[in-house]
Amino acid sequence: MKRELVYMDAKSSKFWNIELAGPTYTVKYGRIGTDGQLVTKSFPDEATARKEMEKLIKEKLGKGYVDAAAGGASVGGEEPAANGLIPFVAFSSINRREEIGENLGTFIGRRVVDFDPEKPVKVDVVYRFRGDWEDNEIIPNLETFLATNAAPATTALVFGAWHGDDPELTPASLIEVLVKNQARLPDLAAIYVGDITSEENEMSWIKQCDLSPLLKAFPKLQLLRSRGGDGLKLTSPQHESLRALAIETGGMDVSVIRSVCTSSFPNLEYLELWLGTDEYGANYSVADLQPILSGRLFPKLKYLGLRNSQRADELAGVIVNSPLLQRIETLDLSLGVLTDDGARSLLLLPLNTTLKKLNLHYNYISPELVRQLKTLPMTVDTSKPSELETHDEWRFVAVGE
Amino acid sequence: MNGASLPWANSCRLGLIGNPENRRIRDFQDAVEGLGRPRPPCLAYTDLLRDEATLGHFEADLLRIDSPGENAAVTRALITRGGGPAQPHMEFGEIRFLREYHQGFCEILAAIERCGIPCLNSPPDISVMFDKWACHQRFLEHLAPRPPAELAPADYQTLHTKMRSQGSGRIFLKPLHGSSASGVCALRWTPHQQQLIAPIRIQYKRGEPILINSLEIRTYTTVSDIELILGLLLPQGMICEQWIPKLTLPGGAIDLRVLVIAGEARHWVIRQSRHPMTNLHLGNQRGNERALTEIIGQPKLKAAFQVAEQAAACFPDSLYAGVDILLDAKHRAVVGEINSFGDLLPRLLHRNESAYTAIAKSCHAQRCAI
Repeated sequence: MKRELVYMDAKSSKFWNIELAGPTYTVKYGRIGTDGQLVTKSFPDEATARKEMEKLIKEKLGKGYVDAAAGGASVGGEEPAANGLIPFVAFSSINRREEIGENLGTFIGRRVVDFDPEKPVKVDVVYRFRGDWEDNEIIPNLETFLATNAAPATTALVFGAWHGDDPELTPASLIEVLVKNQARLPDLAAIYVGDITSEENEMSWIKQCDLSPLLKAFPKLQLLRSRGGDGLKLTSPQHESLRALAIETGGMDVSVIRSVCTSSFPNLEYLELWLGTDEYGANYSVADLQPILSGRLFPKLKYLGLRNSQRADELAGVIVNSPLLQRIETLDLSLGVLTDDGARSLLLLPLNTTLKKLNLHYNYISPELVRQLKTLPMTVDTSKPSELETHDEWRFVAVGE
Repeated sequence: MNGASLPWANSCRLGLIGNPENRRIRDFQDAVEGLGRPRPPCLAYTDLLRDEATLGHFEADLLRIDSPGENAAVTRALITRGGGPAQPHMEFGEIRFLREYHQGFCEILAAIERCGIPCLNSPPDISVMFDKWACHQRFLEHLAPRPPAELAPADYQTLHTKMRSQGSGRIFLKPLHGSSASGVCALRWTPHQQQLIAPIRIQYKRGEPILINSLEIRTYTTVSDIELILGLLLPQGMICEQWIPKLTLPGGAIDLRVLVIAGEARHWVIRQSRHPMTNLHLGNQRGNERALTEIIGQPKLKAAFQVAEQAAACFPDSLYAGVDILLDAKHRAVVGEINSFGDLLPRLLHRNESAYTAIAKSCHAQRCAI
């Protein structure tokens, strides 16, 4: 008996394999791309060993590990994405509230490094480009990089604080440079426009622009992730092979939701929307999300994240009736204002749901309802920062204030 | 520890000036005793403020001047001494009379200087370290890397006009004579919005707003709150520094507190926060050393220590100083602040010595042997 799990987020990419042979199990674990370490443990009999093994597996699943095969990732010792496909688990980035305040450590499972024009270029990392408080060299640095031999082999790029010392600056000129140099980036598969911490600029203050030129310029794009809702547009939301779209905002404008709802992403497997609060520009109603919830839009969808939402309860109430729940594997309502009301709705999930994971991290659910949610036939993450256990009066999304 | 082997001249008697009830004094006395030396006496600021002549009777050949803070009676007396009211009425933690407090402290420092007893950190150095603008000038003269800074206007309207003409920006406003994070505001604005983040609470006393130093960092976003806070702080004198985005590690943004003793960067701690202020008393945490070195590498960490040593070297008449080092996104080190009383680093060991033990040992090696 064998089980292979992987975990990926903004900081790490790890594998964890366990194999049972008689009364002994062997765990192999480590960073993806390394050989990892071995731990062997023996028990008096096979039944005990099996029980212990199942306990460990449950623990790992609770921590966010997923089956390697389902995640589309290769395991232990090999590089992921050997077939050019980004492992499904590598689409997610922020898993925990506290990670919102940090710059990326990894992106699509690979280490993120700030591009330094004075250092020799590497091919095994993902470069991040960002501005600087002294002089903003982000465009010249990007142009320098594009002229190197590393550019044609590049599969992923991360853009951080492009605004330097002027928070009003959008990434438009950055995108222009990328589009102009599309021939230099034939294999570009993943882009993050907005690896910006609140120390650099508040999420709700980040000035975005129309990101659809990227969709048009890079036909091999699989993942588009962005942060910041102000000025964000997807005027031409279509792409043949895009597999993942993630839009992080402190408040999402209804026009962005409409663009997603009128999009043509036939291969989309992963959709993550941070809806935010009215105070920071969220002006949608749950009805605006109907085209997504109806299940018609994205036939290949496996993950739906409606995160950081002030209206998480309302969303939960509508979503339990969505046909998507007979198709997708993960529903993510984390980082929002989900209370007992929303939890009660979720208890009404259809019995024949295909959901394997329900992510409710950062919630305002009472211990009693948490207990009830845990009886659902799937992995339910109800973890929360300690301050949410005590404060009753203020209910706020993870990114807002 | 073998105290007998220290180059401790027998004729040299160390004396402390401070608030005797404060742990700073107790811990330092313990550290000296731990080296096998007599427990140094402490001259209390309350006594010194009542009668400067007490200095003349204080039997010491070498003085360590410690913080006058955390004692309400001393605070009030320093304010009065510095030209404030005879009976300053203040709420606990109220941010008021900063200028007068500083002036009073400088006068006491001058009195200590006049008494002629050598000090581990010289009174003139300490008074410069407690004046952020003077400090900034000193750093510039000695080419220590600093964020761009200027004196802030003394009224909100002028600042506001300036902010509007710039369109957007991000600055730290720090009281010229504040201690630790008291009164420090992180301010950022665009033409459409503004945000002031500070460990400050607005309170009303007989209908009048006052500012209270709070252990909780708050974010103010309305123009009226920001105007109220800065309207009370700016007239007390502030320095306006560019807000450099700090390096973030898992757990939040960080800076370093490095204690430089006798020219050498010794004890250091990573201060980490989800807020722009990393001061440890504000509920922030010590950061993970390994995570930092993994990200920036040993050479950049060494460079940061060198910048701390360079900052301390701007004060050649001081044996030690706590230097706050900011690391920007490119891991370059910039001097945030320097603090003559920045040696309160309990439980932190370097070469198996506490900060106070290291200072006590060093003062004997450096000064008393002369």
